[in-house]
Amino acid sequence: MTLLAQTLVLGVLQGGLYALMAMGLSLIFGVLRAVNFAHGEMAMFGAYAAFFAVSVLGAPLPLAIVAAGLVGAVTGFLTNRFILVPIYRRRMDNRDEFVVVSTFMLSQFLIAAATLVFGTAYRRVPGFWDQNLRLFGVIFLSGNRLVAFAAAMLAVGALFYVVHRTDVGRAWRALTQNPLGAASVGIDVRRYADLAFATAGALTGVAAALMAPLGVVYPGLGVTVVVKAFVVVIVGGLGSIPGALVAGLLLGVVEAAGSVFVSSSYTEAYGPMLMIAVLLCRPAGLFGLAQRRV
Amino acid sequence: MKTVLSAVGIRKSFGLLCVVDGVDLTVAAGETVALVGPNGAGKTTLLNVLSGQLRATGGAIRLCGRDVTQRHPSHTDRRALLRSFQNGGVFGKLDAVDNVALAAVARGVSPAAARTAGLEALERVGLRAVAAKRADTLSGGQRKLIDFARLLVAKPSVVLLDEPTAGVSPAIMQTMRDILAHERQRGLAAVIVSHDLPWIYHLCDRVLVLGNGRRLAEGSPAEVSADPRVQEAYLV
Repeated sequence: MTLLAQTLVLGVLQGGLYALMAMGLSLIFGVLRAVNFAHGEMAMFGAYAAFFAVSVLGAPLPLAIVAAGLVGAVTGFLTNRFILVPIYRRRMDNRDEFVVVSTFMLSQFLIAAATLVFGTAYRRVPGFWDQNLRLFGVIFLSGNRLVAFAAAMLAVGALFYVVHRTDVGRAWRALTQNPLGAASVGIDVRRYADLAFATAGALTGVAAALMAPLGVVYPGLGVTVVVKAFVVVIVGGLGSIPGALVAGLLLGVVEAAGSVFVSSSYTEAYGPMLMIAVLLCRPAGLFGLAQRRV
Repeated sequence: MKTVLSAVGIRKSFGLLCVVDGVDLTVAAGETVALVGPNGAGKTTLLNVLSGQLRATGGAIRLCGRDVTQRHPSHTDRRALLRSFQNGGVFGKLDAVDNVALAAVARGVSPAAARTAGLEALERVGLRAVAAKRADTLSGGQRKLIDFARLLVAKPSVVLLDEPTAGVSPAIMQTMRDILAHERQRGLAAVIVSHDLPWIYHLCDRVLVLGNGRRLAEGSPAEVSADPRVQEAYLV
């Protein structure tokens, strides 16, 4: 029983970070119907920003997280402006295929560029709270995970507020539900796409900075991130932000439970297995709409 | 009267299929043009080209003096134009008032003022009581009235309405007619696609009849009704 509780807590803590990591991908898909394969590189640059802010500039960790968010936001904004906008401007029929190929190539380019500039060394970011805690006397968890989870939930809460309580969020939801109608009403698609990419980059950068003390920072970091983010977004339902939250937590719990009760050798396989299982039962994902275009 | 919308030689092809073939349409401020014709004549496609949803294969479109032929529907040069869709252009998961207010926000109105304007517009179209309801809970007729409420807050120079009266009650049709009549006094130009000929003929200044993507006839309701080509292709 204790082991089950311990596993659940660990899974939820990890899942909160997965959810934050994936929300940007879901937001971009919802607003633009664009699949951004360079999503992971916003995380990679965010993690490096946190690393350099702490180790070179000597900034405190909260400031390093802000720096990671800013660098992620700029990466996202530039991705939209220099990769997607030129494709959308041509108004070609098969633009989705071009977006997939272009963002995938951008991802490879950014990994190569980061390898050249930063080197291949694994970098470490110091922890937020290097303390092992004991809950109810039986559940052990690291202070770093707890802080990262709390910060991630704050960021998720902020995104939910923006989406449901502001006009920017209403415009995003309008674009998600009815892109043609939104454009016809006069909603400036390019402006809200810029905002969606910058927000997605900021969230992903923050998620990467929060995860950095729990792992290492290296140029290929984004590949792991993008795979997890895709699993979360597909399980939750493409374009659904509440779906990304639930699916992120679910992925964390499934990975933790699989690692503890089956084998830790297959940790990376549990996510795709969960995705296949959900797709067999609900092809549009847990919160996806059947009519949503994929 | 000042011309607000001018389309010259509009063509739209999908591969080898030419759906709109060299149609001219000019609408002046305060003028209402009915766009009628048999199913498949190219009426909705023409509206899609005029509003920028589809790119014209040929021809030129000017809106308030600016060339908008290649402009995306959300481009600032197209803000003077608002259009409705046959199947409704509402955002189902947003409240009715948000559906309307977004049209004002998109035109630079502050969120608070846009919401106030949205509520006033809903009052005018008789939907004030459902302002806080999600749009996907509204009836088909109420959803079509959302387009008219948007028209009131966005104050465009020209509106393109695609089958606004399809499936709506006589009371709602009357509300729509009243709003259009009122708005044309401030100079609103309108292009309306409708199969409800008595309703549209009562409202319009001019009728453009399309057949197989081409202009079949143009003139007053009485003139086009008497035209044998129109009678053969559409009315009989």
